[in-house]
Amino acid sequence: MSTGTRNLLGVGAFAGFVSVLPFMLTNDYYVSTLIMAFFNAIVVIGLNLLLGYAGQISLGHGAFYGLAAYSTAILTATYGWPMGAACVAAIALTSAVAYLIAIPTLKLSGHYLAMATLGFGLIVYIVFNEAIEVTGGPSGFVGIPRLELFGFSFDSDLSYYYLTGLVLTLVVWASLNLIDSRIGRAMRAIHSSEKAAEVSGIDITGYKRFIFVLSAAYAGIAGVLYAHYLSFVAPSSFGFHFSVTLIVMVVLGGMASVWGAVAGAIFLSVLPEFLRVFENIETLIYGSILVLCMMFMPEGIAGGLSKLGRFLLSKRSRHVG
Amino acid sequence: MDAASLLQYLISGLTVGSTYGLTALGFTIIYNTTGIINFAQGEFVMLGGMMAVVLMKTLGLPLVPAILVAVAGATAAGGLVERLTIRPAKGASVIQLIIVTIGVSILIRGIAMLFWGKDTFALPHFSGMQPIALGGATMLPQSLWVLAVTFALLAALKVFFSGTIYGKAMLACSYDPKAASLVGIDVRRMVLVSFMISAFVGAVGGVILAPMTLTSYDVGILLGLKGFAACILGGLGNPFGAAAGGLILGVLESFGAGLISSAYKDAITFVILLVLLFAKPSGLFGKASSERV
Amino acid sequence: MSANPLLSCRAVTMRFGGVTALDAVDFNAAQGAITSIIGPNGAGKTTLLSAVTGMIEPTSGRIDLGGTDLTPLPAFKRSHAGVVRTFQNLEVFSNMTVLENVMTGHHRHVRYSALDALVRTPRYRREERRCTDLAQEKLAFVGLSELADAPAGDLAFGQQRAMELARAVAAGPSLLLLDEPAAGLNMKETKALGVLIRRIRDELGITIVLVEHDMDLVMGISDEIMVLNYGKNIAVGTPLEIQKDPDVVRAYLGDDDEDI
Repeated sequence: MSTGTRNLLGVGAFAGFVSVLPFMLTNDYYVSTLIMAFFNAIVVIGLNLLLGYAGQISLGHGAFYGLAAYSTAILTATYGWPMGAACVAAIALTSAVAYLIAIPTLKLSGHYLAMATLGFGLIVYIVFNEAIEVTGGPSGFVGIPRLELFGFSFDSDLSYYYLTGLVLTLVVWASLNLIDSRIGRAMRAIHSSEKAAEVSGIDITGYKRFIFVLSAAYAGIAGVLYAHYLSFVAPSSFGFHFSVTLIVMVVLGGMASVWGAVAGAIFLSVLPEFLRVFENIETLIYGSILVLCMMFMPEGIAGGLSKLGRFLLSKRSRHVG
Repeated sequence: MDAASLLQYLISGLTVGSTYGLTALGFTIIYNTTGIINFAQGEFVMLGGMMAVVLMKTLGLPLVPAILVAVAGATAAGGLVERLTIRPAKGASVIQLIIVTIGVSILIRGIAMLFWGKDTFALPHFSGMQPIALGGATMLPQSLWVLAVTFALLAALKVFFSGTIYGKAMLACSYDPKAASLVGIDVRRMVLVSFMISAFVGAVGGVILAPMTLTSYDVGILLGLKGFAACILGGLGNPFGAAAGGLILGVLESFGAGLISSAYKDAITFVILLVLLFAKPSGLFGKASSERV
Repeated sequence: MSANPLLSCRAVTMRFGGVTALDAVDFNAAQGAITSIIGPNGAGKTTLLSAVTGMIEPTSGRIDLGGTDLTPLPAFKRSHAGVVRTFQNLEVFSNMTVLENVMTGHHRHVRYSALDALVRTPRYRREERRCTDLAQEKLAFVGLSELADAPAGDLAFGQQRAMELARAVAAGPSLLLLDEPAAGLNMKETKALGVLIRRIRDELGITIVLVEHDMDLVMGISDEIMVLNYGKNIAVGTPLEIQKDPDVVRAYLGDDDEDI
């Protein structure tokens, strides 16, 4: 079975599962939880590609999410732009900012890159908080219209759920396709050996920039969906805490795996609903996940599962070499 | 914009800059010994101030013992962090180590929040709050404490690193760990000591500043980041640069807050950090080698 | 034989700090020839290769490939110009299969954009198919066809070397630089390597520059040899000429003449 076919089957199964899930839930409230989880998953897939394949760490990705959310909010509510145009503009703006940041930032590596993205994220957060006339300040921006496309208004939670589920499925499929292409190979090569990648003619800086901007675009897509769902955005949702949460989701799910990203994001988004005490010990759990995963399971759940899978399979097939 | 206001900004800038400098020094010590940037450095600063406050409130300890125990506790925490998370992670990639130290910083913050809640606390000023007049500006006695303790600590560290065998051994580790171990230096112990000294220095920074700025469980993030900015400003790996960078950063921030906008004060610092990283990562006093970046 | 240099290095000098790794080295590799570079350890052989591929920038000098001046080109563009290298310490993409490694070698020839990849247009399918077929062909050339789907990191050392060659050849270079390809191989594997290198030149028409310590291999397959010592080109000639050259002998054995 080729990778392409395997991916398609996986995506199909995922889409099917997502479609029937609402009917299996005991409480309609969980639908809104899942919607938020899907938003996170979209962002985390992009971050996963950045961290897992390009090996670039971003501690400020919440800023891109927030930029898109605020942009579409301001364009629709303050300036009365039509919804479609506002969303596209917001995503484009977010991608453009990412492109500008990428150029100097990607010359850095390791700690410097981490700090630069952290600093960037905090600057954006501070601007959200302080530019009160534009953003509404710490109390947030209200009155964002609910999403409406081609005349259809996504008023109900259920309709929004299916919309977001569809977008997530498409993002998963597109990302899997990307990995199974020359671009994916180039990214994996960069992650594995930059020297050999260069010698094979791969423009390392160009690809790192591409994936950085792409991950910001993913965050942008999630951001516009978020804004037009909650009808309200506040700076506190896009700060350092959120950016770190995203990293925890990537690490938990497995750093070089689209499905791992989805699993990590949905798991950690849904978990608070089931752990009453989660809020108090949330930071403890996140911190522990980061430390323990890095020390014992650097490839996350996805890596652990695939290692297990390969181990079981190799017991049956003949030895290599 | 009279001289008195400018002097005021300078004083408050130097005061807060001292803590930035001490935080930066903590970064530098660990970086020099291990090559790691310890993202949890800011939390040691937080621990110093918070533990002192808590000890006074819950155990009724007087100020001086509370400070001593708090600093000792933070130092122990530093050692614990190294033992439990850094030492077992030998051979981990840079990204992995970054994530581990981020995780540690979150953990420490989480534990602090669990035990002490989200409130802000104030440590009493060491010798009262009677302002001292200085050329039209006023200065709190605590500022003098901050500057004095900082310089004393810097002097002590200088003596330690260039005068004692232990200190020189730690420097040797930073130049070449293999060579250091070949001449009999216990590199692993040096790493442990470096973490403890960094925690010590950070905690002292936290304690002396806590009376003037409120302290709470999450002050570590900003302090850590500003400490790192100070490091970069002074040239990563250069202890003198770290201290100087901290003071300069504090003063820049203070002037920025006073002359431009106090709301965007923190943003100013981070913009400086970004500009530095993009344009001159080797900082003011560092070598221009692009190796580490 | 040396009438038509494909690669022409003129007065290439490389200084790091106080060390002169390469001292005004002139080096030519004739089109269609197998040219070897030999010399004691630290003579600057790998430094020269790195300069040709753009991984380091020479302090002065000029490097020409088939008339194109390579010096302004960044490293990744040199592959586009037609020069590819392999690495002494193996740089295998261990997060991919053997086949994907070789396909990555063909990277710059695969013609579709990210958009094509994201939605799997017919152009993507066509070019992926072509790339896969070409990679299979190169794997067959080096004799690794059955291991195409194995994770690259799982292969034995000798097989990884062969895979690296397949990957380099998949890039369609006009010039292939081999950095100590026999390192770590036993005698049988080294002989097979020699055969493979000859086939790369004979069947694929690729000019080869070989940096090596294994004298049997070097003397056996080289058309021309250059000897480097302390960063200087001290001799150029056929294998027979080089073996007899007193400067060369002295460089390898030192100044004590007792053993000559």
